[in-house]
Amino acid sequence: MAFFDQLGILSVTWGSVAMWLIALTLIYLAISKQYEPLLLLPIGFGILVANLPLTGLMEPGEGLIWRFYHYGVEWEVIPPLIFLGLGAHTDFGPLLSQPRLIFLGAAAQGGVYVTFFAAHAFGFTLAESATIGIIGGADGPTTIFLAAHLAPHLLGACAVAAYSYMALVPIIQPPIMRFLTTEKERAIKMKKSRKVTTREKVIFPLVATVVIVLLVPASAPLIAMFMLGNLFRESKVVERLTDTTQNALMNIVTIFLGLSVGATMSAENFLRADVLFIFALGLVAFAISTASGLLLAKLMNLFTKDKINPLVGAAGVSAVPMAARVAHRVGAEANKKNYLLMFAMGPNLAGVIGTVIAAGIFLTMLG
Amino acid sequence: MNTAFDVFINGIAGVFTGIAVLYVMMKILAVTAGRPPSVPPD
Repeated sequence: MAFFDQLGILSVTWGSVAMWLIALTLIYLAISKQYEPLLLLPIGFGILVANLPLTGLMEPGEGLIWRFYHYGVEWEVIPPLIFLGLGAHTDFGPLLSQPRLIFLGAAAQGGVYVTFFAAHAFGFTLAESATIGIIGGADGPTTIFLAAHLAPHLLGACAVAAYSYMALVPIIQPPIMRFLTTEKERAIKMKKSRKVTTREKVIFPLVATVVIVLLVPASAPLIAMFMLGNLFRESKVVERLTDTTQNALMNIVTIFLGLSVGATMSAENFLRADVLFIFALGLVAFAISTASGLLLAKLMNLFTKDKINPLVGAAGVSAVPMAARVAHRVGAEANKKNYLLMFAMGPNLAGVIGTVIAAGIFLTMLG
Repeated sequence: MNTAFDVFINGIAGVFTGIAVLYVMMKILAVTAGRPPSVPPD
């Protein structure tokens, strides 16, 4: 009978069962542990349904989720829209009040480039290596944006790795921070920041867009949308647009992004030895990025009068605001009166900009 | 055709250049737009 021939259960493979388990693990982590639930939940569900046999959900040209993926991710629509929302949530005040901290965001890209080099040495192509390296920036939308261009077959693995490490910042970063700093360094109290004017906050996104896009034109989709969202927020004349980008739009695109990314993770794409290796390399990239931001802060302390607490350097990875919160928490363990959060937000935002520039350079040279 | 070394060097140099230019722009911004507007005397 034709109906029984078409039963999905007859086409179940061990690979698809393994993917269901991975999907259920991510869904469990999202619901029970609240690890990046806004993304891991739709990603987990995307993995689950894409690995149910005979659904055709990811059938090119026909499948529902394939359309989300094709028009949203491959056409570069969703990651820039996420950046629009992020910009509308961002206050550049902490960075503008202490401009020197921006260099910590640049240093924290160290892991991106070291891992890029290492991945290539292990046999990945340049484009694949760049996609793996960018995981070190701990910036999900940028990772997806770059992967969609350079190595679409690695998109699912790299996106899940990036979001997993973002969620695991409180576990991964503190041991590295403690290992590379002394108790005395962690207790450093930074000089109070000056007050930033509204005029500076309004002009900054305009200046930053022009400067960055003139230097790295390939970064325009992300940086332009990021700064537009920020201009909405700081201008205070488009409250409705700010509210929409911060909430409704951000939530809508997050659903489609998570579902599409999860659905790219079919058993044949994901259950390969090199994907495990990508996760390992991504972790190395993230650890090196944490360390390099922190070490630059220590280096800067050799030449500056107003000391920088090196922990804020570790916040130079782009996991906003988680990395800044972790720097604050570890600092508070050494000195209960130390309030590092606002200082750490500076490198944290610089890290977002640094990762976008790094991705733009990869695109320029390899795209 | 770019080699891994080209990408590595250009990448690091590019990120630091971009960030350094932004740093200078922020300093200029602080000088030109960073002062709160003066309050007229009563």
